[in-house]
Amino acid sequence: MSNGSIRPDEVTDILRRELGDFETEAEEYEAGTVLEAGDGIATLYGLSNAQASELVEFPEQDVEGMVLNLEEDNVGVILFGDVDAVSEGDEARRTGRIASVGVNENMLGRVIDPLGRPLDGKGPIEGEKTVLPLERKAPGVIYREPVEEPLQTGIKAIDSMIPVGRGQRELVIGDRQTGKTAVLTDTIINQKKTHQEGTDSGDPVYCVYVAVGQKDSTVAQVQRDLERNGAMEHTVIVNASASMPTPLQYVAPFAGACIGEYFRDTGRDSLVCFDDLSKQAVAYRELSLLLRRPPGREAYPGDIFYLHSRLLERAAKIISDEEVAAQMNGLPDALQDKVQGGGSLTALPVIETQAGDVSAYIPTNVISITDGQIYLETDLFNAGIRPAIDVGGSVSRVGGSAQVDAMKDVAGTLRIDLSQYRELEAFAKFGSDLDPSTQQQLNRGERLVEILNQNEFSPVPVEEQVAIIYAAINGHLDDVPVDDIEDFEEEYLERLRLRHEDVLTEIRETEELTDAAEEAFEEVAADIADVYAEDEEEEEEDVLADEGATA
Amino acid sequence: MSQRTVTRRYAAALYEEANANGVLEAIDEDIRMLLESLDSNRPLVRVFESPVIPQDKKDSIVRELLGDRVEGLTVRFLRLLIRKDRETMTEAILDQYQTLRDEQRGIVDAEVTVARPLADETRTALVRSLEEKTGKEIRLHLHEDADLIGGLVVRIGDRVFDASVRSQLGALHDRLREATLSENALDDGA
Repeated sequence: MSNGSIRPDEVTDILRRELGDFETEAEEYEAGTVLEAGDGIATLYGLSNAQASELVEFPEQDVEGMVLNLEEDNVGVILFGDVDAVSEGDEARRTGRIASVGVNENMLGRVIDPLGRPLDGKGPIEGEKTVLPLERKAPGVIYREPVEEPLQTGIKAIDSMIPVGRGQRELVIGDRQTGKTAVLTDTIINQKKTHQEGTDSGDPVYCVYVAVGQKDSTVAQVQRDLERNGAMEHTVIVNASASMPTPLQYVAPFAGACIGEYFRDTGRDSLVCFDDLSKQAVAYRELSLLLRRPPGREAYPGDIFYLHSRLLERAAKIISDEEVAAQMNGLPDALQDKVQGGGSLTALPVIETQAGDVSAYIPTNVISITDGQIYLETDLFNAGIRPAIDVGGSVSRVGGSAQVDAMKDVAGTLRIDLSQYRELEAFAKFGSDLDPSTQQQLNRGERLVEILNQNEFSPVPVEEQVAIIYAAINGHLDDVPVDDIEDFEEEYLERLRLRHEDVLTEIRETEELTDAAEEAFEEVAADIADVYAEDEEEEEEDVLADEGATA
Repeated sequence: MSQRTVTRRYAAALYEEANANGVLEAIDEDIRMLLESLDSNRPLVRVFESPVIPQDKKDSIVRELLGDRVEGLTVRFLRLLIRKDRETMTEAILDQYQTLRDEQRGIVDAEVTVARPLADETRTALVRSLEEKTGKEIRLHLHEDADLIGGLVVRIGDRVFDASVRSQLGALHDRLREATLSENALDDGA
């Protein structure tokens, strides 16, 4: 008979075996009744022993829910799954389990929903899972270490001026269509290096991308971008799209944090991107209002701040002392004997502003919670600056100590130079009426802006960032026409890679800017700058000659 | 204020007053009688619940109807409800009073569903075993539901004890559906 076909007697055999093991056992459970249901929530009568955030099941409808409201004579439950199936009078049972996700390494490369169920059609997630509760207390002070190790985003403007450290929470904020998601995907793509051996890019960083209330098409696009750039192997995408029940959109960031914590607490580095928390806030507002909690500012419930603060507190750099780390507070049983020190969870939450209004309720909340923000602006985006980072409005409050020394050396004055340029920019219209030093500052600023421009999906390694910023800061680009800066950069880095590989490697390994490196940069930059500067002069001469001819 | 809070307060007040006056037993009896009458006598329910009947009319009906049949306290209590505009909740309040007294005396209601009528000795055995398990006195309410096929389902408060053939068949159904063809079975077949 052909391979793989199944004989009826085999099936019978299996069924018989299953029957043989089957023991009749009376079920014992606690049950309640649905008083009312609708819009993703249900009010239950009974279940007086239910715990907060316990899972409740509706056996007839095959729907699960999570307890959110415990009142004197009823229990408010948010429903995951087919929201419309549950109706008045249905039976609800306690499960005794706290809402949680099962996490393991096989999730990497997969797209899952906030309860850990695969969404990408690649079959079930194999392997034993560590079950972690969605809501978990953040590690206390004793179990933390200061943020000191850099998390390279591969984006020049960020790594040089708004450095992010492992364990930091850096907000990405901006209007729609300003490239917020691109910052996240680029950062995830740049972590690919950390998983390759012999690149000295630090310990591997495992990434989680949480999509809340986004179009499924957008999420598919992100997945494809990551796949094409080979970054999906170290990434989990948690998707609670706009079409999924509101309760799932509310818990999605917590599920993402759980997966990040799994890596963090087993001594590894993780990066969790929450895209975006404004949509989660809206989902939570909806649930709260339906549960009749009193509305506050902008109709958000009173605990909306706590919603985000407790989520982002879970970002941490864990102490490297194993003994102390093992005693971490709030450790779930499943992790008890797997804990290792030195792990980290870096959070990159996203907030979408409306018409650049950062003083709205949710943006101010999250700005105050995080350790800094990367502020993206529509005007800059439209002016062709990518990433459209507003340097003046962006800060990193802890990342400075996580920046490599070489970068600190070259990028120290970058921020000031740029902000001076922005100030003078208004006068640029007056052209030659300006004094030479102002002219010079404008000239330099233009070139700095140009070198910080960067295409999507093309992260730059930190040593090359140092090299190009060095050239710009030290005036080697001043004579290169702005339009040629991109070509200059390409040629300059190419030549460094070819002729001075050792210097680049040294910066990567020692993280210091040595004299040898400076010499190499000076030499190559001067060489190439000459070529471009000459070109320009020639062109000018040509123009003059033409003018002379016509006259 | 939720209805439950209101009923609980009135019921507790009635209990405390009855206890202080030493007429607890008599009041228990009155309440049981009243609940039974409300259950079987719809016009009486309407007297309490209708907003059309004026308060003083309701008041005199209560006095004349119950005046010499029940304890003075019971009448006073019902008149208090009428005066406080809570007479529409009478039934719920009386129910709550019974629940309160049941709690104090350690009586629990057991809703038992069976597939077919129970023989008398099975019934007493069931009550006895339930009393042993809960440590409380059981007030049995029997329901029949042929869908259970066999066995029984006991519900005491929130707790459900399901030993019906229906749910066991359901469990078996789930289990057979989840049973996978193991590697071995496929290899053997090849």
